[in-house]
Amino acid sequence: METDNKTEIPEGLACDLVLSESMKNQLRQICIYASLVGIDMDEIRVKLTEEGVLPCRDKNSSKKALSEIYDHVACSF
Amino acid sequence: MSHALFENIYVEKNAASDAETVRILERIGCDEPQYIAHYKDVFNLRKENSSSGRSLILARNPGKHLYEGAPVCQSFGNEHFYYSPGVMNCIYDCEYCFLKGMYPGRDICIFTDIRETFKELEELEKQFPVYVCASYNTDLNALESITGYVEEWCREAYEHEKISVEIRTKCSRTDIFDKLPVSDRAIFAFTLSPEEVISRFEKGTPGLDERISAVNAAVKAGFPVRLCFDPMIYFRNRQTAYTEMIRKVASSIDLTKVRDISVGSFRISDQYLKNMRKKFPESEVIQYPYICEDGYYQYPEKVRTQMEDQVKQQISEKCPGIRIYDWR
Repeated sequence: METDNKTEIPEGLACDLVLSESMKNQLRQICIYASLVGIDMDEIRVKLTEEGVLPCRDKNSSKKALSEIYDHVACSF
Repeated sequence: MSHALFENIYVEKNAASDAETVRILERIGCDEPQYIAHYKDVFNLRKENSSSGRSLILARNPGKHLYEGAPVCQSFGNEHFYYSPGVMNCIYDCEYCFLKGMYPGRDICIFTDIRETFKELEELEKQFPVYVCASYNTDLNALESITGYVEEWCREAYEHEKISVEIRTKCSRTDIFDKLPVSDRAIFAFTLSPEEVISRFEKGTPGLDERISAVNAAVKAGFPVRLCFDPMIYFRNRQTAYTEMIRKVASSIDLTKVRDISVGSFRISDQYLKNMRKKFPESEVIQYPYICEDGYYQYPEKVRTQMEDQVKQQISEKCPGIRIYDWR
């Protein structure tokens, strides 16, 4: 979905995931919201790396990782 | 010619001699409005600066006067549920309001042919009991000094046994209720929000204490009153904020005198959200990564359930047996 917010997906996170265009848009929206409410995406990346969720080698595991990232950002308050 | 609320006042030429037009112009002390051919010539203009002054437009409604309610609106158990677009846009500036996605700017358009709305309504009434949201695209109470439409709607409900009217508001006026024709078919629905939501996301609206005073004035005058905890907004401190709001509401309002409660978390049509995301890139409410279901964006299931259940449970504890409507 189009937005004028210029926030981008952090490069490290982008490299850890195999994303379709639609998944990229979802992640970008998650990153926009995270930046507005002060959630650090790098901390989430570190946590998910420690848990073995990241990095992902294919789209299926990336989908699961994206769902976890979503929960950390959109359902954490 | 300007007014305290409006930078410019426009009148559609074909509405110039309407009784409501004359009355509204008198009320706002305007004797030299600018005449235009069609309200859309002004209303549909996109303004670069969204915080620039707003205009008032008086016009005739060229379209339908009543619409069936959208799926995301609560029907409160009413089978024939309509809304009136009699006034388009609101003087308040709520960050999440769907009107920001629906209309191009902040201008307010008042349709002066309210009698045509009542005619359509009375035709429907011949077929079935009708429930109408009269303040759906605006806040009628907040405009009552200008329009007098709250009184008109209350009279319509008072005079017609099969017509029920809901007037939704965040306005804190307490002086209007004693002057209105009272009936159990004119329902005042007050949107109540935590102070933090009001200060952060409902700019220009009265505080919670002021809204509570208005609720009590409406109850005292004998009107059925609905308390709307809708839309509930997700933010960092929301659990504490909503708990505090319920505590304050329950200690300030006799809930046994409230007709019912409406609870709902924020949801919005996909097209409106799309428009709003472009307009408000820095808004945390608008930029939340909502889930799209059947053309409507909403919070994910676990978030909305948690939010709505919290308020429903706390209200039920304060007033067991009170009727609570959930939008889903």
